[in-house]
Amino acid sequence: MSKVEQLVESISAINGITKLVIASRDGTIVSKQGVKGDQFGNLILFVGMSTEQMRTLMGFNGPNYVIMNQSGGEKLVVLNGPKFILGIEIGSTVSPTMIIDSIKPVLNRISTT
Amino acid sequence: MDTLLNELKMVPGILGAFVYAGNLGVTGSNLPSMFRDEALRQIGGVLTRIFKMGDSSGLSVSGYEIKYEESLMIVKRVDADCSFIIICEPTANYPFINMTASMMVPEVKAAIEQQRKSPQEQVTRGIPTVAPAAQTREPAKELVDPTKVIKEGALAPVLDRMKVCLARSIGPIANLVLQETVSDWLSKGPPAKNRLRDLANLMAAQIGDKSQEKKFFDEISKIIE
Repeated sequence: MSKVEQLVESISAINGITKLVIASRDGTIVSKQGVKGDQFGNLILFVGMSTEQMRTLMGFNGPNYVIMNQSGGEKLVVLNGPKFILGIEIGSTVSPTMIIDSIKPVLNRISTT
Repeated sequence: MDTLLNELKMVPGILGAFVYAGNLGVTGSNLPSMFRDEALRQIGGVLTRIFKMGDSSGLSVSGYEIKYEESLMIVKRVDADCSFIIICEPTANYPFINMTASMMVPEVKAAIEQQRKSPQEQVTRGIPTVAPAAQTREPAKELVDPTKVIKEGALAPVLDRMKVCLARSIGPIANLVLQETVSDWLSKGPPAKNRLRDLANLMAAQIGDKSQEKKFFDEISKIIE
């Protein structure tokens, strides 16, 4: 099983995730679930890359995560790992911080092994 | 706009806020001066573009939060071309700040619309979208790379201890202030031990609170002398 497949399997086991995109840092969408077309992936990549650009401008470290609120209540979560940028959509009743706490260690571990 | 931003800054944990509108640039800010105007303009542009990217992806993003190690950035959509950005300490009470900021969005929107009608009257930090040639600053003469001095230079351990002292006075933005002040310090001379007092003075000038400045000098004197 590839690293990406391991990552997808780990994340898919978490309840409340309705969309998933995993992109490599060269901009390639390497996996997606519940997503049609490239637009969702492109947004995730743009957010991931932009927040890293701002880190440099502000002299900060991170980003640890981005949580985006949609007008319908759903949330998008963007996590930057060493090799991959991960984007997920979760329902309005799901706690994004609980999801982040579950995924972040997996993303970091997969990306460094 | 300044009144609105200052009202928000009274909430514990908020470092400051700024408003960016595409055609006007940064229309108001009460962030500490170490947040450079040009950096705020660039950040405002990127953050506003994220909303536009969301629109073009068919997602209606009303706001978002970005968590860095040193800060939490809350971004509110004011309209298609304007964002309201609040920078907080990482441990700030996010739900309360988010709710307060959301309630202020209509007032920010009204202020922006007023400024769009009469841009010459806008109260700003003097940040035009495109700087007139006459206002363009001379590029600072960088004698030494500040990042290298901070991370790898002979004075790196001392600078790290100075940053810790500064962080006790101004919190998580100490890292950014150190970068700024070291850059300024290096533009005036070499990174020498006998010039650390000058650096301490530059750092203290960024604190903006007399009692905290005194506390800073008390601690820093043990390190640099």
